[in-house]
Amino acid sequence: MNERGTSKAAGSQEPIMIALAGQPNVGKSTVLNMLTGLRQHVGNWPGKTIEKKTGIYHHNGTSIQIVDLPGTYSLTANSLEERIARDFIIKEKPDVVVAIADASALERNLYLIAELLSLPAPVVLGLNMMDVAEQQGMHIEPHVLEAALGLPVVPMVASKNQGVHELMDAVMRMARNPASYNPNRPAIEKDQQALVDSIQALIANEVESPYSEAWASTKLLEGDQEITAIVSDCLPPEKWEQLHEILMSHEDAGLTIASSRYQWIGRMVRAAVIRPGVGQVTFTDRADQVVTHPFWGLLILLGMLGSVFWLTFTIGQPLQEVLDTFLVQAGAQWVRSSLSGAPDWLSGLLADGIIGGAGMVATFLPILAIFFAALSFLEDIGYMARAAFIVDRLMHLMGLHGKSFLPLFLGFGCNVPAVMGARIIDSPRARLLTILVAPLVPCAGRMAVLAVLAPIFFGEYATLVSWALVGLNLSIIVLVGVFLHKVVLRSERGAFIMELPLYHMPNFRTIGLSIWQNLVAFLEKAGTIIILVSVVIWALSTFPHGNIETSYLAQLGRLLVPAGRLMGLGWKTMVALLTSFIAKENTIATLGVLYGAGKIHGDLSVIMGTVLAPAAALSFLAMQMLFIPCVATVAIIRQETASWRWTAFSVGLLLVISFAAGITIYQIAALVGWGM
Amino acid sequence: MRRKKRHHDSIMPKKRYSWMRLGDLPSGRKGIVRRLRGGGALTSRLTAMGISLGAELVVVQNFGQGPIIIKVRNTRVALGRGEAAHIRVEAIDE
Repeated sequence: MNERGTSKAAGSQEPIMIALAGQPNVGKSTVLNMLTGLRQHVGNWPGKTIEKKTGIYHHNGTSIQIVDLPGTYSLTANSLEERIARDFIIKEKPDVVVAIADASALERNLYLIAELLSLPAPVVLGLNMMDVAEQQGMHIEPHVLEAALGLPVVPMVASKNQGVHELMDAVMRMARNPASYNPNRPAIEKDQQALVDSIQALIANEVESPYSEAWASTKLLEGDQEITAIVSDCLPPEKWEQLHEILMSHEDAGLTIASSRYQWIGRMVRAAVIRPGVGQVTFTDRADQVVTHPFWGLLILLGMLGSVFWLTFTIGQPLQEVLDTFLVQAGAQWVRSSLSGAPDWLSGLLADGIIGGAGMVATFLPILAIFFAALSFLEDIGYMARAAFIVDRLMHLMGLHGKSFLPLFLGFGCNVPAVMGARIIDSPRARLLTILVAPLVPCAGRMAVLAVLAPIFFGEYATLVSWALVGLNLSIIVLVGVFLHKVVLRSERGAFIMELPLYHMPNFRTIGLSIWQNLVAFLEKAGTIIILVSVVIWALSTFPHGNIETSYLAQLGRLLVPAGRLMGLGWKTMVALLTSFIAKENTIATLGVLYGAGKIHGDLSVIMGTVLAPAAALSFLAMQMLFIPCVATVAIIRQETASWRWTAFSVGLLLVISFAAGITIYQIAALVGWGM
Repeated sequence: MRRKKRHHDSIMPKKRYSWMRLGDLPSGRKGIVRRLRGGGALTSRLTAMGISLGAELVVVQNFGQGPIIIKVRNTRVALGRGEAAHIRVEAIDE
């Protein structure tokens, strides 16, 4: 810290780096958005699937790099987020840590500050949501709190851009003169101090830097898993035995340390909070009487989801069609006509391979934009936590958190936002589990295929068959969820403790940014994979003779005939399934081409209806509903899990499930006498 | 030793043992957190969210089954019934 102090003397224009810390729901991202807007870089923390946002802000000629730490309630390594946050402060040594606190829940928020003060970086406190505190009848004196804590305290209303500039002024002053930082750190009680001292003596000179021994000793007493693991690695066995004994006989030390922190907090806020504002019945209290009610809350949730789908189908789908007609088809047409002299393969590659792929990426955008708008709107106003609360009981079974419900439900529209939407889930395991079951949710593309083919095969029973197949998908989701939870991931279902934040007006800047960042992420990563795969599939279905019936894809389909025979399916239907990898809707078009029908309706129905026996048709539809995710979903799974292994696992899992279901259904149906 | 004591909590007549499970405190009632169990990971999460020994809380929603909602340190917290069973509170009479 001292070297930092000298290197960044007053008046120098040297860039500085700050970390933005705070508990969840305190408006931390609003502060970041106010400061950096679109100049944000969204990535992942190294080796983790947790989002890392950084941004550059220029303050009076100085460039400030802002690193947004994950929102955490404390800094004990119970979760990946907490570990990331504290490791960043300890190892990357930001010039200043900016802690954002919710003024209306000051005591709880200061708990994180109490922990931050024991780390070696100067802290500046942004006291956000001052307006909310006032509305609740509280009155807080920032200056008194500043004097008590011994660090700069800046009152703010970040959503109205009040105090953000002043906060950065305070940050600059601190960065230029870190020697002035002398906070009032939470003291440990006397009997606890002796305990900490005895531990510190044991680990002295044994613990690897960058952790300070005093800090590590406290964390050991708090039962911190990461520090305990590190110390047990570093310590010679006999000392570890001694230490272990001390820790075992003081199992409740963590509670005592926490209590002493709250006592310290009590002393800090006693003078600063002039009116505590008790007993006020707020809007949130009144709204929650209905919104979190087991029955009415469920109705509201269904209404919300219904509206999201209504929006998608009234705005998103027409837009998607317009894009498809005027961008993709027109583009392909234009390429074909302007390349009329060129070889067939070239115009085919450009029109079908590249523009086809790029067009598909583009046509995803309206639907994704609507989904992300809805997701971040519900998150921003504070509703998401309530939705999770309402459905938690249902999701319990699969080892999933209530928050998994929303992304999965979105999957009925399209699996791509379902997988991306899993970002809202805090626990990495639960997020992975959600991503793995998401492709089993029947998306609009598959439902469209079902809607066309079921009447062709089953006439008046089409609706019944369709419902049965959707039901099959949903039951398999539950089965696979339980299986993955219990056998593969062996995930402990995280304890259900969740803050229900105050409701507040939506911040359209935050929502807009969230849509933008998600769309850019989709275009950058998934987009390129989709175009590549589209070109490959085009090549497979065209070469060597420019005819799909003799193409490599068809040969691949013929290879699958032995497996297909178990389901009563020939190579044409297998190829149709393969092409659904590009987009689920392709199944119909491929069947149309292979069965020589010019139009989907009419001809196809006559031919198909006679080609497949009911047992085979049923197994084909089941396969279609359960087959490997489309390329866009696969690309997004790769993006979100940051792992090819889990992506391959997901594809393999669905492959196995779909074949198993297809074979089982055909064999049973044939047994019952629905076969030829 | 300790485990035995916990077992007899509900039937011991002495006032000292009148602490109850948070899940048994009905909607609208207030209580003071007296004991936290369930292991270090759980208790450290609870305390970080404001549910520490001595903290005063009020039950906002408790339908007798399913998760409950409490308000503690001016924060609404939803808790699973299992988690709530690890929190012993002293009911405060109004």
